[in-house]
Amino acid sequence: METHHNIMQQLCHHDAVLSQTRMSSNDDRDSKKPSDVTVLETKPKIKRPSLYKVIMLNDDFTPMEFVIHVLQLYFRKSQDEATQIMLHVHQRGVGVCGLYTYEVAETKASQVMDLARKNQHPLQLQLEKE
Amino acid sequence: MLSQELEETLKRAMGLAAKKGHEYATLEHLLFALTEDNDALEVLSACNADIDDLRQNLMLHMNNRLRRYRMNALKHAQLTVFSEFCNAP
Repeated sequence: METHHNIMQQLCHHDAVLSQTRMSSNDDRDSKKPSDVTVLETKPKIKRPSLYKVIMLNDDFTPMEFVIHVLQLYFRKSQDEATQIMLHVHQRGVGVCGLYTYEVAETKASQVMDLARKNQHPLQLQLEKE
Repeated sequence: MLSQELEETLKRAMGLAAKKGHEYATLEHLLFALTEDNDALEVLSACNADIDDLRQNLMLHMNNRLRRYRMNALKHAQLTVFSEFCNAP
C-alpha cells in the first residue's frame, strides 16, 4: 500500500514538473514579442552563373571531317581552330570545344551528339564545370 | 494546351532572343518574358520578388554573358534543351 502511495506521489510530482516545463516554455514564447525582434532587410546576394566546358572525347570511328564540321557549325571555330581541336582530341583523347553557361553547353553537346547519331557516329561530348 | 497568355509569353521570349541576335532562347529570356505575364506576375509578387531588380539583372546577364552566343547562319533563335517543352504540342 505504501509502495502504491509512493508511486502516486512520484506521478503527481512528474505532472507538476511537466506543467512547470510547459509554463516556462510559454513564458519563453511570450518574451519573444515581435517588438523585441530587429528585422534587418538585406538585399539578396546574386551570383554569376558558372561556366561549363564542352569536352569532346576521342573514338576510333567518327571521321575527322565530321568532327571539323561540327566544330565549325556548332562551336563557331574557323577551319584552322577546328582542325587543331580535332587533332588535340585525336592525340590526347579529349579536347575543349568551348565554354558556355550550363544550359547552352548542354544544348550544344546534345545537338552535336544527335547529329552524330543520325550519321551513325559514336561521338561523345561531356560537360565539365570550369 | 497552353493558355493564350502563356503562348504570348513564349513568343515574347523567342522574339527577345531573335531581337538581340542570340543563338538560343534560354531560361533567362523566358523568365524576362514572364515578368510581363499577368499570371506569372501574380506568383512573383506573392513571393515578394523585386520585379524591376529581376528584370535589370536578367537584362544585364543577357547583354553580357549571352552576347557571345550569336545567332548562326540559321538566322533564328533556337530553343535550348530546357525550353524545348515550348515546342510540345
